[in-house]
Amino acid sequence: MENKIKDMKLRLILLILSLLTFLSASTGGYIYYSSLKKSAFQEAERQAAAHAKLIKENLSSFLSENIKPSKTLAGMDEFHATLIKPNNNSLAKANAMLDHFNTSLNTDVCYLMDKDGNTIASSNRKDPDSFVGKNFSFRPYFNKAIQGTPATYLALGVTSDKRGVYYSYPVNKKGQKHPMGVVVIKASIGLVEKGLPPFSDEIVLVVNPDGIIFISNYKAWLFHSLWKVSQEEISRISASLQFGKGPWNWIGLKMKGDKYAVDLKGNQYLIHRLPLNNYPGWRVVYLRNLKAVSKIVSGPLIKITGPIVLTLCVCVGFAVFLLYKKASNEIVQRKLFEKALQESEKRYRSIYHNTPAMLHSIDTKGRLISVSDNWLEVMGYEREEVIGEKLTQFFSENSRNLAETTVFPNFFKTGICKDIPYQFVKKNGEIIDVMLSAIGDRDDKDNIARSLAVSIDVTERNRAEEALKIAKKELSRHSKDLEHQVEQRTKEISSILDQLRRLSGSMMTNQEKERSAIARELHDELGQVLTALRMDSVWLRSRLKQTDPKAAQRVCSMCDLIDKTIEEVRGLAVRLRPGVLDNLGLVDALEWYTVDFEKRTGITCMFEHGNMPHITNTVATAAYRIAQETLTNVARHADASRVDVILQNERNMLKLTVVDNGCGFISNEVSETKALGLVGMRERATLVGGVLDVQSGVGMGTRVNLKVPMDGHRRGVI
Amino acid sequence: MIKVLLADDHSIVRAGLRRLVEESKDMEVIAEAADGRKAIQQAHKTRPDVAVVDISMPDMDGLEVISQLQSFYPKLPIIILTMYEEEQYVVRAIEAGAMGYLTKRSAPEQLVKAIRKVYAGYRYLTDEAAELLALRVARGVGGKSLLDSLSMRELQVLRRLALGHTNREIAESYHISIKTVDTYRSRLLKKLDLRNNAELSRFAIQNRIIEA
Repeated sequence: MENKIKDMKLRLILLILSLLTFLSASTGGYIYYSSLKKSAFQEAERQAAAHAKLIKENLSSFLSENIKPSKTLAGMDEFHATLIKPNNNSLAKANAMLDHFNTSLNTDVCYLMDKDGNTIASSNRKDPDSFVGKNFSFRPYFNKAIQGTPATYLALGVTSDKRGVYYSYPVNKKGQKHPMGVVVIKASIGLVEKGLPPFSDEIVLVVNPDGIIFISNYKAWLFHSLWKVSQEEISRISASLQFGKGPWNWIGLKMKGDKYAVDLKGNQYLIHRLPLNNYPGWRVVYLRNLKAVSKIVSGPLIKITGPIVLTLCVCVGFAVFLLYKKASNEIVQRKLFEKALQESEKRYRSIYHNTPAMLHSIDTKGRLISVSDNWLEVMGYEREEVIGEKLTQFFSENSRNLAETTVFPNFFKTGICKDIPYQFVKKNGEIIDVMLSAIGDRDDKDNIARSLAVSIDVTERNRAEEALKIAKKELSRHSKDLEHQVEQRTKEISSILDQLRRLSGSMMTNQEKERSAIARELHDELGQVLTALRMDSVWLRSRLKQTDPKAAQRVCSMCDLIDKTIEEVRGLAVRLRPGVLDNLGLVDALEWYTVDFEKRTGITCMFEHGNMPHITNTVATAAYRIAQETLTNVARHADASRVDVILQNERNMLKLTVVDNGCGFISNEVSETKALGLVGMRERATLVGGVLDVQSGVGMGTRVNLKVPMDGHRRGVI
Repeated sequence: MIKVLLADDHSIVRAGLRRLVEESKDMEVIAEAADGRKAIQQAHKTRPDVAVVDISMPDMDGLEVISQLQSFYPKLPIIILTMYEEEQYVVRAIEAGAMGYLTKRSAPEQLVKAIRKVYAGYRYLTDEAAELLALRVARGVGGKSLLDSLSMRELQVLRRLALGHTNREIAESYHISIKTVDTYRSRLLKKLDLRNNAELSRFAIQNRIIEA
């Protein structure tokens, strides 16, 4: 409704606007036009006046041009004779004179009348309408002339039926008072008329004092009356025979003010009336068609302003059209929108009701104003039973308290509440748990007018959650149990592993210790004893050499035996643990071992070492044993011709590298014993906090790298 | 009479050695010690002309004893006596200040000779030990980086090659294969940036590995 009014207003405003635009444009145009027109009219009037005057002058002079020739003609002696004595001879002479004048003046006819008005000689005497013998005494020009006054006269010829201008002049004999006759020159009006401007927008009339039009460039008006003529006058005119037989109808022209006239057709004219010289009472009437004047004014104006006005009009029209169109479009869109809005509202209402969710709205007093079908379905009520009732009526007591004390006041303040846990009481008394969320719908004053609330039945969910919680608790108890057990087992296992490692470490340590002890025992004790024995036997030999060569021989072989035994004992001891390692350290031990290795295996064994600081016994043992094991492997499996043992000190890290050029191996194809050997080496490396890295590939040789801190990472092992 | 101090932790060995020494008329064992500490005490007490010391003894080993004795009696010649036949010991012993070196095995034949020699102011070394010592000394003189980069075995091979020994001879003397000797040789040439044995010889002479 409101919108419609707005639409109307919009349209009206548009209309008025466009109208105002048009009006102002046209007013401006009009003012411009009228001012132009006014000045044009003034100009036209001025021109017309000038023109009229010019025409009048022309006409006057034209209609007077034969006055003097008529006097000359009248003065000719031949006419005297003819008038006194009209015989053939004198007539011939008179006629010749008339012919001569007629030709030279280029007039219609020249003729001579006697004192009674009879034409006795004429230049047209041989024409069918000859004047000769005709009496024109009724003509005023004759009457005036015979009384001694020359006259001019305009009339339709009675005989010739041609309009003409008559110039009469009395023929006087010297000394005589009364004229003897009259000469007349009649000139054609045709020439005069031809001299007039062509009939178009200006009409030139020559009218007699009664208003009869005698000369005109507008033929239709000839012999009509300019003004209404009375019957009396008509009969007078008719009697004068001046203008034929009449009926000299009125052309219907009426004066309008001083300067204007209107004809029967409604054409307006600018009118000028001027007296014709030498023709008393006659007037030259000049009519200028106003339409033409307007045309003259508006023509160029239209030509100039036309396109501008047109363009302006088109522009304005287009703008108006566009605006209107736009407005219309907007209106159409608004209507569509309104329709859509209505439909949407309808749809939403339908959605509201049909949504499978518990929706409701309450007003500010907490009364239900709408509920969804689902709400009713769940709660077991009919719509009429609940609308208008307080929402809290359907709440459990706790919920009611919650709502009234906390939720409602808060909601009507903030306009929102979320996931409020309520309990609804169904019609059948059953209680359901819901989560209620709502937003406030605000009125124009931004006050909350009603709520839009959705309640989710979470009874099942709550139950499930409860069950889940219990299950989870159970599960977590179980898992904790399990974790505990796993932890226990892990602890046990790791302690076993630790024990194993320690055992393995201590086993190695003990082994080394034992070996060392045995080696020392063998070397020092047995070796020393054997050495002492040898000394004695050598002494013995030298004693017996002289006295008992046989015994000496025996002692000698005994000596050899002792030597061999010493050698064996030494070898045994060294294999168990080289004394060099304990007494001189790793570098010497490896130097000795590599030379020994070369000697034993025939494999070129290069030993290189940088400047080594003190190395703890444990680390030295580990490195030595790893080198030993590696070289043993090289000798046994590698089929190498060359092996390099490199000992380096890299930032307090001992780095031992053993590289051979043998056949190499693929780690997972290694025989069990060799694998065990590798495991042992790794174990040794780990025990001193080192890392063992074995790189190999078929045909690529083997590279064993040991990296271990100089001071031995772990305490007390080996 | 040459007064000899015997230090060995084995009494039977000591007894054997005493017999060996006392076989000759010009020397006598004036003191015996069963460990390093006692050896030094005895030295202070008896002022021997020559000390024969076992390299491995409890309570201060032989090398320690040598350096201690050296500090008190720089002119006391010491002979190291050892069960160990590894050449590494020789070098250490000589470095520590011993004038002679003997394995116990060779004692019956060489001890008396050795005592006399060191008493006379000479070193008593086996050929091998002498060589090692020479090389060590050569290397120890004034930080020659090129020589430092060589291992003992390489030095040995260098010396032999410089002396004009053939590969076979070298292999035999060190109980290694000819091929190994060749490997050492090519390694030496590469490390020292030399081209042939003649240049090797010149290098050895310049660096006093051999006498010109």
